[in-house]
Amino acid sequence: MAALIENFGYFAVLLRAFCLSLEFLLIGGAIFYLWAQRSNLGEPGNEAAFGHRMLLGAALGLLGAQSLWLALDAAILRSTTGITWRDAFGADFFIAGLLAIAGAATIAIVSGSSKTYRAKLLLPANLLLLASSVMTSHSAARLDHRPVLMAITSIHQLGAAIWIGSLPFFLWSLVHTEGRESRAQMATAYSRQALTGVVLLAGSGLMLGLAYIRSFTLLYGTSYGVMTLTKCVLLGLALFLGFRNNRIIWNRIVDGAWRLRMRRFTEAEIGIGFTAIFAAASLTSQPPAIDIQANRVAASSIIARFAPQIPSMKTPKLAELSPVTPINAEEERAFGTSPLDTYVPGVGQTQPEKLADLEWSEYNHHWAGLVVLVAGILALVSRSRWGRWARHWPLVFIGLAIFLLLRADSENWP
Amino acid sequence: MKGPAAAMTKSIQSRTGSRLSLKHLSSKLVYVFGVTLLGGFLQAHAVLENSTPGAHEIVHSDHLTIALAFNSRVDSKRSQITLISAGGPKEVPLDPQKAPNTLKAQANGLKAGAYRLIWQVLAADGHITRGQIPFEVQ
Repeated sequence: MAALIENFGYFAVLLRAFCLSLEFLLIGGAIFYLWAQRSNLGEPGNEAAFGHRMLLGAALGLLGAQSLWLALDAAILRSTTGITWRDAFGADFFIAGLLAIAGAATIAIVSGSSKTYRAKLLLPANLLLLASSVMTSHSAARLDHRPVLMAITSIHQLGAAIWIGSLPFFLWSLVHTEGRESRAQMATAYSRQALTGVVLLAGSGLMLGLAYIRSFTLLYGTSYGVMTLTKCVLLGLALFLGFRNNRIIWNRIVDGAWRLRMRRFTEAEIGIGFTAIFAAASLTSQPPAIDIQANRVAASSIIARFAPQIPSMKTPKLAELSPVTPINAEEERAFGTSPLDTYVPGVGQTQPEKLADLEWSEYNHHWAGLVVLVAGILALVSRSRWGRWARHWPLVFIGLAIFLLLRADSENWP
Repeated sequence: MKGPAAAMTKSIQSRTGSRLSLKHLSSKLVYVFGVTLLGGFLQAHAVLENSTPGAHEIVHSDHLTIALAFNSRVDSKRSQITLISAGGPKEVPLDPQKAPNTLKAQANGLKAGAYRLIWQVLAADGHITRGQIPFEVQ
């Protein structure tokens, strides 16, 4: 159990990210099936063009990830507070998790059943997933305007699922749907679906931003704000790719080279979109920006940090670094602490950084940056006629791996 | 198709692969495990907004009403307050919860010396968070 507690912080974020991504994928898949795919289900063979296996795989994945998350969270709660298993199972997060498991199990069963059953059960099963996700979102724990925030969060998550969650299914159908007209019909229907998703996502996102961030200084001066900005940039990029695809779809040229081009854009959109979902999962472990009173970063500090300067290549000695933060529960209690700091069990508390810690981190960052720069230059060179020798540029990362092995320090870097 | 469009078509065709598979699709998502995921997991969710005793407060009594107020709803049935002194750790039973974001408890028989109040809460959204408040009894 001690080992479990030690790694709880890491696993908690990882499992939440997996669960959220799979939930969006499943909800998106169901909506795609009932909306875009249905637009041409009458065509023979188009039922087979839907990603049934992907739906089944995502449902089984969510079943596993959610069960693991519940078991882990309940075990940590029980071992750290001494409550009974029965009490642990009665917690809100456990009930929310059971809803997700029930939803995922239903989807797994109906993914291989007849069309009628699937159409009837996909929607209620996905409502369970959405309810589960909202029950463990920030909105569920807010003191003010809780029902309104929960409703807006539902719309936000639904919008993300309609657009991003459906994308892999759209890609699947794009590749597997036979017939040019049929494909164009499906793509046009998906285009409308995705636009609806974008409007829901952006509108509700703006409202949540006003509720949780509220001011420009909190947008750049808190982790929550910066992560939200990152999410917005990623979604902006995905939206740009989506609009490029839209032009192809509305000109009804979903064929030949254009179809392949669209496929590439969609693949990139999926990658960027799901990265944004992972960023969103990371956001759930952050307190909303308006709740952060201490540790806000001033604009002057950010400007000073980003001001261009010659990288320092001087490293402090290992002995000059701060001692390792204890992660054992008993040691943790005896450890000199910053009052009022909050932390997740197993992650341990942060301690004031010494100048040597900062220098160690910066030195490592500078070398890592140089390795990436060299890799980028070689990658570019390899595309030229005379630079074929540089095509093995990924091998440069072996150097970075060795550097990591020698210099990694859990307190400072990476 | 002629001119630039034909050239682009050729270029696109030359860069595209064969049929889509689950393996192919999942490989596109691998880089998701990047910096976005662990952006800031060191920070916990429930934030302590007010407390009695305050950090480094000096208490002049052998009885103390502990009151903790958080930024979010907390589940008192699944939360805990422990006092650590030279005599070792002692769990303090929580009073029935009056407000959804507060925890209260009564600590009796305090002896002079340094104390550390350790709290752990389960927020309504399922996040477990810990923190501690050092104080002194005189």
